[in-house]
Amino acid sequence: MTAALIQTIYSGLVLGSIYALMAVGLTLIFGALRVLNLAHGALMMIGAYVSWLVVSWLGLPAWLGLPISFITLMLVGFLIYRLLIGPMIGKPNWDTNTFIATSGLALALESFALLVFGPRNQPQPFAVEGSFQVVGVTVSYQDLLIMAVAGIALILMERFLSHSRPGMAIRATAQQPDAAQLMGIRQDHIFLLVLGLSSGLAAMSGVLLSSIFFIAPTFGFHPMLKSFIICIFGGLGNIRGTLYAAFIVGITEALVSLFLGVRYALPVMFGLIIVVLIFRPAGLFGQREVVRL
Amino acid sequence: MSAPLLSLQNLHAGYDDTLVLRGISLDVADGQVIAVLGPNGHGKTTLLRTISGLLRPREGTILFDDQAIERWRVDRIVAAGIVHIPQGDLVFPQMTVKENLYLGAYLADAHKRRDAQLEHVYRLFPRLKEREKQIASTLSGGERRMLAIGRGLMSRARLLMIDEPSLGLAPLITEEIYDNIRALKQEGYAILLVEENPERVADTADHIHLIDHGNVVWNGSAQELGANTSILTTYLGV
Repeated sequence: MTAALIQTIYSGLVLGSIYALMAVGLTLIFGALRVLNLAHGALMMIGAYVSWLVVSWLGLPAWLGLPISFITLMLVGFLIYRLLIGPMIGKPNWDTNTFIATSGLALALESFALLVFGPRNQPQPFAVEGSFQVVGVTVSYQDLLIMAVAGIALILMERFLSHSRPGMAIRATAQQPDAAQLMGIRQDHIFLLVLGLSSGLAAMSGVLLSSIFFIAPTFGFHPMLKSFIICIFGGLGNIRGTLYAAFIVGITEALVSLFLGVRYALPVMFGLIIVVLIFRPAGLFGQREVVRL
Repeated sequence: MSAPLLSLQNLHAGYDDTLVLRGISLDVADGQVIAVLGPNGHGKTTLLRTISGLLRPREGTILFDDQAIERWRVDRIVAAGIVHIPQGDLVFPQMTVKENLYLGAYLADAHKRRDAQLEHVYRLFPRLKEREKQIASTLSGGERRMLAIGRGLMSRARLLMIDEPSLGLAPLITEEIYDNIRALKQEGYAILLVEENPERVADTADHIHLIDHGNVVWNGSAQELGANTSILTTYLGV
């Protein structure tokens, strides 16, 4: 029993590190643009296919799948801002319009993938074989690779946001958009950068997640739902809270799957989110603004 | 006399279908403190937002240093030396005092000299140095106002536009802020000051403009305004 429990918590951590990558990308867009990007799951799926294409169509080495997928989706993110979200921002009803536009984009991307790649599941080539045993837990090299990649990406992201000039400009825009403009920060540049980064992170999480499961045209949808739950848990727009929430949700999902069965994972999480929102409407780690005069 | 640093001519601006500014003209010369007074909701904040480029004017010109800037982007206006210290401070709440100040020197030109400028701001506001590592949302109202002004000074400002520096502050703290504003005047900054209460600006402003319904209805010195009781009761109810 204890071995099963440890094994479960361990797989929760692996899942959590992928969810963290995905949810941070979502919360970044919401924080800076106040846009809920419903195409995030589809971008994840496209990212996974790009990594697959690099190997199966171009014949490049498998490890190149991740960086190429990240860069490609970053460019896709720039395009999405320039062609879709950018022209709507600031116009009347932009929040509803971007909501509808991004869900439309998700459908279009999924249909595109179905048309081009077909409905068959494909394996993710960005993977390593083998595993070993520690205290009764089976640790695969792939899991270690996932945690290393996600961990490094999240640390770099944190460094970038806290200390670099563009990173500070992103945070400033998220916290106080008017004041950020008055500092001379160009809002359209920041939005473009955020869309690119967020899509790049979606691609990474897509590659990593599909390396545990498989690639299919609609495989990004459920993870995106979980990412929304994570973002709400952590407080939408709050990066640190989102990180904690990702691991809480990953471990909860693994535990529920062990004790109740996989099909209860989502219902239990939605139940939890209702409870959290009743008692802490700004999320578990969401801060209410402190105002003192 | 040389041309004024800032010159507004027949400025019209507003939101959606409401016109808020209806033909404002005024000048700010180098080194001068100009106050704009008026009741709430008569376009004072809109005036500053239009000058800083957050809002596009519908009509009229804004000359800064003899250049028409009314179609410029906000970042270009900031780079030219116009700094808008917004109403309610709008500091970045989850950042430290120092991060807030660094963001004031965001543009490339200011970025190069940001450490020297930081020293300068700390000399003016020693309290900010003490609170350097504190998160801005935990500051008191007076400290937040100092931070908003200090953040504005971090860029290469030539004209400071301060929106209601006394808003929500206790009288003693307001005094302290106004001492700071007078010190900035001594340093040679041109200042465009927006206030509701004429007593606040009486011994600071060189010239006062009274705004009502988006128009300048009266202008003159503080002494002239103090002597003119009918103006005071009609427009400001004091």
